[in-house]
Amino acid sequence: MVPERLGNLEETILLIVMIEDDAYGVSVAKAYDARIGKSISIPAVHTVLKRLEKKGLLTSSMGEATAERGGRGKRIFEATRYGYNVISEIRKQRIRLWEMIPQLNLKNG
Amino acid sequence: MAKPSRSHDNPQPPQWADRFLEWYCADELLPEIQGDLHEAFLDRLEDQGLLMARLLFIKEVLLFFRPSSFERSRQNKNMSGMMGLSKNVLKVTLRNFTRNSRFNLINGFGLILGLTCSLLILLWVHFERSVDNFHPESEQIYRAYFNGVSEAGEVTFTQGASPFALYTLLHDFDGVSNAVVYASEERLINYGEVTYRSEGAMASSSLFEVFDFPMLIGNVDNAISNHQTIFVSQTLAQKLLGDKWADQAVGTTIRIDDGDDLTIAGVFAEIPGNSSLQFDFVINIEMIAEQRPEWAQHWGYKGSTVFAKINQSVDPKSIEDLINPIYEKSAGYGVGGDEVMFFPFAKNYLWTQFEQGVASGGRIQYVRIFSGAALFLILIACINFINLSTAQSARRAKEVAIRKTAGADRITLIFQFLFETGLLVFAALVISLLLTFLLLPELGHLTGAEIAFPATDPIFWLAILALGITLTCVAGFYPAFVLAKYLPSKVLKGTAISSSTNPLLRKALVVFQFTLSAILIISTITVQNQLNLIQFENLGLDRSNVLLIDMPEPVRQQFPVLRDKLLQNSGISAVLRCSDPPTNVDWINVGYDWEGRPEDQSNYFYMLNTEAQFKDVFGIKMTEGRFFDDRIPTDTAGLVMNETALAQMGLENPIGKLMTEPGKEKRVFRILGIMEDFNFKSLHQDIEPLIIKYVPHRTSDILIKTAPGETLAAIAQLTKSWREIYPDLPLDYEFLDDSYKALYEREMIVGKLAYIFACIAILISCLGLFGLISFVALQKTKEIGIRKVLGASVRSIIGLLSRDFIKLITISVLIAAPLSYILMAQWLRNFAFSAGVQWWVYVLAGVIAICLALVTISVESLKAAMASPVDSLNSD
Repeated sequence: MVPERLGNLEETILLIVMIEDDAYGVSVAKAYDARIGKSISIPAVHTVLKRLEKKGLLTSSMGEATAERGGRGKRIFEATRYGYNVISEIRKQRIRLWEMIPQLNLKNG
Repeated sequence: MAKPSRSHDNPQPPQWADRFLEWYCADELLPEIQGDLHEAFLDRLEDQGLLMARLLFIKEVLLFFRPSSFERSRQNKNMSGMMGLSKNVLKVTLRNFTRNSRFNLINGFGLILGLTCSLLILLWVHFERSVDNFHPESEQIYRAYFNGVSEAGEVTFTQGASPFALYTLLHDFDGVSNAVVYASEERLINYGEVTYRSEGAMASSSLFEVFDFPMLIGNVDNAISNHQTIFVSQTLAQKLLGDKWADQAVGTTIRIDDGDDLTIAGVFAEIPGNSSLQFDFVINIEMIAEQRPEWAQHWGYKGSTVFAKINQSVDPKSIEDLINPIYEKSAGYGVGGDEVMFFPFAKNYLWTQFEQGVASGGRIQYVRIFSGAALFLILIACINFINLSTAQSARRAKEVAIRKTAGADRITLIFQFLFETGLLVFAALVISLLLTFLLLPELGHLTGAEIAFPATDPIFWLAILALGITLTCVAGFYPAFVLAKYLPSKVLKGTAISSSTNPLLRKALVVFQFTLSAILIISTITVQNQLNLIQFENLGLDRSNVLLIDMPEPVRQQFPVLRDKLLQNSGISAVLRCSDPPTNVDWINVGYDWEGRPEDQSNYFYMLNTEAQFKDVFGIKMTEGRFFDDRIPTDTAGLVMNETALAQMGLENPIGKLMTEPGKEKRVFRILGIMEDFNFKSLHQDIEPLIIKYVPHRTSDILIKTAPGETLAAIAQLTKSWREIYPDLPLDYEFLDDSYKALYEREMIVGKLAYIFACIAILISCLGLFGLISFVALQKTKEIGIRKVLGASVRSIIGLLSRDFIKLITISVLIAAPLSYILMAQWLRNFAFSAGVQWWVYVLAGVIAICLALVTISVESLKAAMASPVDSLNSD
């Protein structure tokens, strides 16, 4: 299977969506901030989420409104089966590559 | 937006940014985007403080401002709102273009043709008008002319040659800030191994002060004290000295005509193409003045051009009035009659013909003719455009009605039509500009002018833009406003629209368009006629098989050597010297005296110096007396004149009478014979009085008559003999016939261009006609079908379709005839010998116009007439 071409940011955000429950714009941005240590703007997150949805890696549905949002609904994102397939394919590919680095193998194994 | 859980003192994101977001963001995207932004705002408020949170909020609102946020889902899309409208306009435009691609192609093609031609012409006109206007204070520079004035006070001729003495006088004249004396010269320039024949000038060094010819190296002031100097152009310096010209030029000594050695005092920049004065070198004329003081002081030796820069506050007329008495006193010969006249230099390039001392014509006539042609072409193309657009728009009445019913307002509809027209106009403009750019070198080639594409001129682009907008408004206005006015209820019932929107207007436009075309056709035929007359007119002078060589100084000194050598060749039958080519005698003399001359009579004569063979070489016929004979040495004190000269003098029994030459020496000549008139000037002029003298040593041209049919051999022999005697001298020869034709170069170019333009004009008009007739045929599809069912013949249907158009075109030709007669009669006035405007030209032009129109019409109407009525009646 030829994995979907994913950019670095796309891959990271896809992973975050998989980790978080009920991932939506702000929560993804916060998680990104917390786990990667860099801040990201809300529009950037929206763009990536939309793109991933277009590629079929995510699906979305409108979630409930909360008070912080002034009663506005949020769009909740969830990874699709295809999304999981792609991300594990990428992982396998990376591992194959990692195993081919002699120095790393010497040190660790 | 009341939020119950937040009190009013709780910080909020900036309201305007929030509103902005609400304005641009699509409704169904708003909750997620706005919600996320507000949530993030609150988070940041805690972490980073109010200011940062607000700034980030604004930043992100702005970042969200992009098409993806404007998008609506499919079911929500509607026609209202700005975006929906312009999208719709674009879509309708494209659909309309593809549906009526033929109309639009014809329309666009005609417009491109017309625009390209007009642009080219206007660029040329602009160039012509810019000639000599680049000098600083050019309005203060005047050129001196001399008017020959008869006793009755009438100006009989105007000539531009002035004596050096006038320059000396003007130089220190009150009110004149500077003066220039200038004379074109062709010289051999030699440095080391290389010799070039160059076009240059003898001039005062003030040439570089009055005119804007910048000096690259060297200084004019330093050169004035030393007269043995020469200025050369950059090109000439490069040719002579190679790449190191910049370092070496100043101070280098070069040799002129194997005689004088002159030191280069400066190198001047290339003379721009829009200067009427063109030269590659300048010799300081003061040198000649020093060597020949008698020449410099004598008012009779008119061989140069004098320019004066007159102070702005001074009327040139007042200077004329002051100079004329001085001139008359100094001239030395009792016959006055010559008066100085100052003519603005900047106008001089376009105005070179004078009638009774007033500028009457010159290149300006061609500039005007072509400006007119450009206007005609653009008008014809625009009319086409308007006609086709209006005709076509009637078909869209239903579309307009339905849109109106659906709620479109007038502004929207007008915008739609203007947009469509504008798109077509500007596309055509862009293509025309491209074509103009590509064709400009070709035009330069044809006219001999270096015209640059004014890509950096903002005025040019503004003019183009203005043209585009005007055209759009004029062509799009009518359909836009008329169609937008229709009442949909009537249109949809099918009662409001007659067969055309406004037949009268369209008919008038067709007539106008074809009138212009017919004028162009008539003019073209007339111009061609006149050109034929010039080319094949018998001048009374056999100018065939004659080669013309400009005589350089070394040859002048030992001419017999060259002549004897050349005559040994079988292909060369005669060699003789002349002061001017006999097709263009340029030297005028005034003030001859003779026995029995009435006191108050003063005549001018064109003068030609030549040798005895002249008569045989050119086949001159004598009416009385004889031509010169080289065996009679006293013939050098004789003269021969033409019939016109004799008639103007009013002399009886002229043979043997004596004439006294003007000037201090008072030399006397005996009249030997009278020649039949022949034309020694261009046919623009009447035959003028001419005196021929036998003075072989005061000549400047060599004429070589070749044996019939042996011209090529003769040229080879000439080249070979020349090389043997003058290995270093370049040989430049031309055919007398060609030099004669050069007198009419402008007319030839005009003829060629007029021909092209007439063809294009008629082509555009026919394109328009083609578009119109196919439109009419389309409209009458049903009518034709019903007529055919009822038994109408193909011929009667073609007649039905074309009758109206043929009527219109006949009217056009009838209108064009008198108009073009007036125009052409005026142009032909420039020629003393004119072919006239013949009646058959009108008939021919009419027949051409009607035939072309008929052919155009018949293609479409035949198609319509042949169509099966089953199909045409079946259409709905």
